[in-house]
Amino acid sequence: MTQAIRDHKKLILTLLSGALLLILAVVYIFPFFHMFSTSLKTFAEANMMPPRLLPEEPQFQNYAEAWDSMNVLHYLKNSVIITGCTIIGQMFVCVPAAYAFAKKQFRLKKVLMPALLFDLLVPAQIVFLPIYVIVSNAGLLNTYRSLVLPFLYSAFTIFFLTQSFRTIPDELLDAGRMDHASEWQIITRILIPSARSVIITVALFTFVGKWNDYFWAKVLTTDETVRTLPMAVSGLLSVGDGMIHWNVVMAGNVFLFAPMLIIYLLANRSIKQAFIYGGIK
Amino acid sequence: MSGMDQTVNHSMTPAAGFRRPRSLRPLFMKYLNPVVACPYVLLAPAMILCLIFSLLPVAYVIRSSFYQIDFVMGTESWVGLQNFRSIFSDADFLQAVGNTLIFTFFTVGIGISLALALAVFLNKNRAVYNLVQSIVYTPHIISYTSIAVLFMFLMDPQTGIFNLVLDFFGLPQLKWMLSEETSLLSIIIVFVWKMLGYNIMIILAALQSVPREVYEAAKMDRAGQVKTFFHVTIPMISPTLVFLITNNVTSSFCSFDIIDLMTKGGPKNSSNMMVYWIYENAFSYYRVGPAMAGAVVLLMLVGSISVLVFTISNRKAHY
Repeated sequence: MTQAIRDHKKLILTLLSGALLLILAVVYIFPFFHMFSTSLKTFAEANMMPPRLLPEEPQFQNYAEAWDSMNVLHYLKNSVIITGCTIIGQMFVCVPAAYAFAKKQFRLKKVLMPALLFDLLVPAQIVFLPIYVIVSNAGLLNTYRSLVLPFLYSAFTIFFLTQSFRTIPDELLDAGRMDHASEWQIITRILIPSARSVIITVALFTFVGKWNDYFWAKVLTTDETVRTLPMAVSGLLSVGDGMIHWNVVMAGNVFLFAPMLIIYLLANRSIKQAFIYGGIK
Repeated sequence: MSGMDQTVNHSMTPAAGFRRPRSLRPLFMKYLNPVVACPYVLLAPAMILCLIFSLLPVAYVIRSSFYQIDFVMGTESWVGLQNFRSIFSDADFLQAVGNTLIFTFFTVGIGISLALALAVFLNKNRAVYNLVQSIVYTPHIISYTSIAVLFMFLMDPQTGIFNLVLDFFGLPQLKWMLSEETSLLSIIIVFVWKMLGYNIMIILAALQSVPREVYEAAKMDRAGQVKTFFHVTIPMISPTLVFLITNNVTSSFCSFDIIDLMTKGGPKNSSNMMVYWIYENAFSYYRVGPAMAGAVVLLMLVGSISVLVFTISNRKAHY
């Protein structure tokens, strides 16, 4: 009797957790599915109520239309250049700094470390105006440099790299010094190879932030020359005849969203690891 | 990168040339010694950028909040606390502060408790559970632009899925971000939806790092599941929860993208928040002084909440 009740209880629990898993999956997959399906519909079909789950006849012309009216190639180029330069430049600035914090003894260490900590506490959204003023006074408005230079220094990246460089044994670096390696060689031949996975993690972190960036692209640009893909997609909302053509907007959204999704599918584990480490340390 | 080249040449030369008596050596000469200078050379690019793009801007924000600034004429004059007085008598600013506090209270309250419950639920080492966790995490790495555009479509009053769902349950249709009553609710939903996967993942990582022995000890003491959760699990993961709360509070306070994309602070200021108010005053109305005073208020709010959370947790948390 008690055994039967226990089995009964177990069955209900399994069903309940199954239902919860299903609800979660639907709440998170359906919006994307609906977006994709709408991007293949005609304008009339996209405005149907209740909506069809799948288009009657998939239309690929929305993608062509979004591609043209968004000028995807231009914005994609900007996104790639700005994201790429930021990631590479950040390595040149942050790796040596982290090396100094992790492996060197110097008098101002106790002053410079808190300066770094202070920077972590100040949200970027508070200091956008002075940065705009600096960039525009330097005559850099609407250049790639305006969207790269201010982001080469990252307190987060330096902290993260410092943590991992500390775990590299001093003997390894000393061995390099015995072979008369210069500091530059120690960084490129010993430090970077031994911290490879962490450096990839940090790079992914910067990539996600920079590729998705909307705020800085909006604040630090005044025309379309160096604006990035997120700004182009938001521009689609105001294209047309007063009515939003959701089928075209969703097609444009796929252009912005697909590269990130593909990278997430390929590097699922490392991306999650990046954000977990970013969170805990 | 010129700083880097210097280190290449000198790093291995010992400090041989500097054997003069200490008292005679000028102070700065020490820094010509490559071994002493090396860390500073390595740090120079980062520190110069930090100074220009982080420390000076904060100083500029604080200074500007006491000035009346006209970018077009290029003039500025000291006005003392006038900017602060003017924003605290500005109904729009006060509403933006109120909206920010309401928004943050709900996004953090709902976001963290939902994430905690779901993390406990998903904390099973089985493929389906891991898969669902990966799916829920996806929106966190997708840009706010994509997500906002997507939800504007889903929340469309005429053709959106949200109203279809309400209709299905026999509830009245809403105008979502187009009405004063529900505009703030709409962006709260989007924010919680996007952040949930991240919060779950961080809590899961903390749950999995709790040593098994702790639970075994609780079992020996015949503690029930609920009791174990509140008296063992929560204290063990409290540092992570503190981090998450601070993190969520900061990002809620600094929300800009969803507001700019979905509501532009409207209708009638009903979803305006502090960062958006600062942005509009600085760039659209050219009221630089008041905007910077608003930024100082925001900085102090974010700072004091972080400090508050940390002090409370220091008293309560079991590290």
